[in-house]
Amino acid sequence: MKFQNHSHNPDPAPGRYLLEPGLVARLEGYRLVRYRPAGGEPGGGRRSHRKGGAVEFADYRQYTPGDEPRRVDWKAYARLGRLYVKEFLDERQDCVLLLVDTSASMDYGGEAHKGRCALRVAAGLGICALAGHDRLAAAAGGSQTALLAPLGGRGSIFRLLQFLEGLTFGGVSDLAGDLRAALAMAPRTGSLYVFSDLLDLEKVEKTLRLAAGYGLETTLLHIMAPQERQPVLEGEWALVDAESGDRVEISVTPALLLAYRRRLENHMGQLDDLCRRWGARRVMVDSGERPPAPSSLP
Amino acid sequence: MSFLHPLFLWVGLTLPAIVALYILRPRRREMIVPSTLFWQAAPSSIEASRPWQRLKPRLLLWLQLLAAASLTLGAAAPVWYWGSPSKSVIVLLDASASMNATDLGQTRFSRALREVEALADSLEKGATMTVIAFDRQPRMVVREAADSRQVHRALQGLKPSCYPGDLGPALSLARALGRQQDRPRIVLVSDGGLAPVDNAGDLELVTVGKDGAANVALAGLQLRPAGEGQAAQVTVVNHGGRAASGQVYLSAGRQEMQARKWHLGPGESTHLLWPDLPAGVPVAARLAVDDAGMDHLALDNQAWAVPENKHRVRVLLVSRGNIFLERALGVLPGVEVYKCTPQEYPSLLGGAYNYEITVLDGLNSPLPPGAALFVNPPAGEVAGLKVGGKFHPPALAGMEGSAILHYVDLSQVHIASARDLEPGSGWAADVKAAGKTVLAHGQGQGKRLVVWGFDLHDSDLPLRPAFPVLLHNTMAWLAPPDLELPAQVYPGQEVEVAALPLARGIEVEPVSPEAVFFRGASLSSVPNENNLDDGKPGARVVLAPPFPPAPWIPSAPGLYRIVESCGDGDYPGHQISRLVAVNGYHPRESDLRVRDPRSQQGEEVTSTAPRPRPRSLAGLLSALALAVVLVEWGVASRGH
Repeated sequence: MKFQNHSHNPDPAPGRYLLEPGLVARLEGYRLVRYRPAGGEPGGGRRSHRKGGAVEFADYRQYTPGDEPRRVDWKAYARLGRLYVKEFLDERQDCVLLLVDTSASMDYGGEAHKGRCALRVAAGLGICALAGHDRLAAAAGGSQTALLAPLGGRGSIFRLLQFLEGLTFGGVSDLAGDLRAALAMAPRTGSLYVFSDLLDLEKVEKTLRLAAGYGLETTLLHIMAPQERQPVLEGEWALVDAESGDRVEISVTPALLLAYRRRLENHMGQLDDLCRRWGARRVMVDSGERPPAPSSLP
Repeated sequence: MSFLHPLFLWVGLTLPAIVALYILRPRRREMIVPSTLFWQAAPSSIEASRPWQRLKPRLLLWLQLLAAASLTLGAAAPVWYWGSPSKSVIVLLDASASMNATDLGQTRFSRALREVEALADSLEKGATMTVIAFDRQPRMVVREAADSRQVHRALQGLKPSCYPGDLGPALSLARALGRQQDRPRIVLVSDGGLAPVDNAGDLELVTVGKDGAANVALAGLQLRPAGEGQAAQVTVVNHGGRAASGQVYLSAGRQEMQARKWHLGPGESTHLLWPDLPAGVPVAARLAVDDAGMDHLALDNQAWAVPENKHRVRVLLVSRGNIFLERALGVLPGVEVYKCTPQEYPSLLGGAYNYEITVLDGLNSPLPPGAALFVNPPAGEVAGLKVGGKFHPPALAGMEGSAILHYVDLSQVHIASARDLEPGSGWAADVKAAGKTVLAHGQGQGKRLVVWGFDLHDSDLPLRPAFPVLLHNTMAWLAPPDLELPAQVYPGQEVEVAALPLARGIEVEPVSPEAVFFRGASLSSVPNENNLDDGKPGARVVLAPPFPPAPWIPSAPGLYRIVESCGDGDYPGHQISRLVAVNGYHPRESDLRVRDPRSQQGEEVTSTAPRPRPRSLAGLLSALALAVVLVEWGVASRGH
C-alpha cells in the first residue's frame, strides 16, 4: 500500500502488514454483534424477522388451511381443542459494508496515522464478518472511489486485505456519494461501518440520512489522531488545510488551545446529535492507541 | 523633577520597537493539518501577504508599552523634590570672586544668571521668586517677584565681585525671608567655592562651572630687607589637575626685573626669589601661563607689595622739668621730642601746631589738637574723665588685656600718692589700686588720650624696667605706627585705617588703573542695589571725617594710596600717604574645583543636578514595571 505523502508518513509501507498473522487467526474466532435482526439472504447465521425452519421458537398462531400438518402443536390441541401452529425464527446472512474515508485529511498523524488506523480496524472487522458467515463489501472514497464487491467465506479474507492495502489517501471525501455507489453494488447491505475523521458535519449528516433511508445499522468509527485531540503547539504557525488548502496564521496561546478544545467538544456533541437523530452510533478511535496483541485477546 | 541618569532615556527606543513588532508580520512555520476548522484566525491574517499588518489596539501591546516606559523612566532615575510644598523660590546667587572664572567660555556668573532666569521662567502661576546675590555679604536683587520679566530686568547688569564668598549671612537672610512665606524652596546657584555651612540640608544646589577647571595663581608677594636693598619672594600655586608652566614678571618701582620661569605639577607650589631689588619702592608681579587653558581666573595673576613705612612721631613735652620723661622719651625709636614750658604752651597752640602727641606734665588743659598724655593732672576734668583728690594707693593691679600694659611688670612698682580717676564714657581703666583708677586711656573729642594720675616723683616707677615699656606702649597707642595696616589685604576685606593724631581727613586713591574702590560703610546707600560692583574706578574715597574713620573695603586687587591730611597747609608734611597692596588671591576662590558647600568636607560635586531632599522615583517605577510585567504575563496566559 502506498501513501500519497511520505513526508507525513514515517512508515514507508504501513499496509505491508495491516494485521499480524497471529491476530488474523485470533480474529476469526470473533463475530460482529448486530443489534437488530438481519434481513439478508437466507442461509446465514443471523437472526431474522422472518419465520423459517430454524430451531429457535418464535410464537403460536391459529391454524389456517395450507399450513404444514407437522407444525401443528398436537399437545395444545389435546388441551384446548383448537389447532395451533408453532412458528420458528428464520436465520439469515448479514451483509456488512465497510466505508473507508481515504481523503487527504486521513493522511495525517505520523506514528499515529489516521488512515493506517482506519485500515487496520476495517481489516479486523472485515475478518470478523467473513469468519462469521456474513457477506462483506467495502468502499473507499477520496480522490476516487474504490469498491469491493460483496464477498463471503473465510477464503475471501485475502481479497479483503488486498483491497485495503491497495488504497491511497488524497483528495476530498464524499462519503454520501461513495455510500450510494456501494449500495448500488451491494443492495442487501444491512450493516454499515464508516471509517472517517468526520470533519464535515454536512457530509456526515448526508451519509447518515442515506444510510437510514436504506435501513442500515450504521456505526461511525471516528478516527482522530492524538495531535488533533490534544494539540501540542507553541509559537507562531501557519496551518494549511489538507483538503481545502486554506491557510490560517495563529499565535498559539493557552487561550487559543482552550478555544480549540471547546470547538472540538462542540463538534463531537453535534456528531452525537446527528447519530441520535439518524439511529447511528459513534465510536471514538484514537489512532495513537496500539492494536491489541494477539495473546491479549480472549 | 529631573533625571539622575538622563542618558538611559535611550532605553525609550524600546517603545517604537515594540510597536514595530506588532506592525511587522511574524515569520511563521507552516504545517499541514487535517482541517483548520477548529483554529480561529482573523480573516486579514489569512489573506494578507504584506510584511506588515495593521496595528490593532491589543491589551498586551499597551501593557508592554507601559512596562517599557516604566523601565525607561526607572533607568533614567527621575528624582522628585519633596519638601517644597510652596511654589515660591528664594535664589542665593553666588557673586564671589571665583564666579569670574571663564572655564565655560563665558564667566560662571553669566551661566549662573541663565540658571536663575531659567528658574524664573519655570515659575508656576502664583509663585514668587526672590533673588539674593551675595559675596561677603548678601544683597537683595529682587524680592518676591511674581513676573519672570521682573527677575530678568533685575538681573541685567549684575556682575560678580572680587570678594570671597560667605554663604552664612545670605542663608540667614534667606531663612528670615522664608519665615514670612510658606516654606519656600531655597536654591543656591554657585560654583561651590564657599566656606561650608551647617544645617544646609534643605538647601537646593545648582552648580555652575566645570569640575576640571584649572587655575594658576600668584599666592603671595613678600618683601624683606636684604643688605641695602630689599628682596622679593613670589609664591606661585597650580590649582589645576595638570602640569603647567610659565613666567613671572617683576617690576620694582619703574624698573623691570628679569622674569623667572616656573613649572608646576598638579597641586604644587613654588617660591621665586629676587634678592637684589632697590630699597623703598613698591613691587608688582605679573603671572604669565604658557597654556591659556590652564588659567581660567585672571583675578589672581597680579600681586603687589609695598615696603614697610617708617614714620617719626613728633612729641611735645610740656613740663616745668621732668628728667624721667625727657630721658625716656628721648630713647624711644621713631620719636622726635620737643620741649616747652607751660607758659609757652598756649602760644604754640595759637600757631601751626604740628605735634602729634603732647605730653602735659602737671596740666589738664587746654587740650592739644593731637593725642595727649596727661601726667599728674590737677583735679578737674579731662575730656570726660574726672580727676579727683589724692589718696595713697596700696598695691597696684593692672587690668587684663590693656593695650597700655603689654609686658609691664607692676609688681615692683609703688606709688606714694595718686589722684582718684573716674573714667567716663569712652575711657578704660588700666591700673587700679584699692578700687580706684590710677591710670586710664580713652578717646575724647576725637582724640586719643592717656592719663597717668600720679607724679613720677612720688613713685619708684621711673626706677623700674616697667617705666620705658609703659611709656613706649603709651606712645604707640597714642600714635599708631604705620596706620596699623595689615600686611596682606584682599578684596572685600574690611581694613581699619587708624587715624594719625593730627589727621584732619583720610582718603584712599588708586595707584594702578585696575584699582576699584568700594566703601563698605556706605554699602546700603549705593543707588543701584542690583550691581555688586558699583564702585567708581579711579575715584577717591573719603574715609574721614567724620572720625573715627570708616573701614575701607577694597573692591579689586591693585595698589592703593591712603592719604591722611594732618594739620594745616603751612606744615610741609601736612599729608602723610601710605601705599597698600591689595592682592586678589584667596585659597578658596582660586581653587576652581566645583564643590558642595552643604558638606562640611566640601566634597566635590560631580553632577550639576539640584539635590534638595530629592526622592528617587526609580524604585517606584521599577516596581510598577514589575507589576505590569506580571499582569502582562497573566493576560498573555489567557491569550489576549
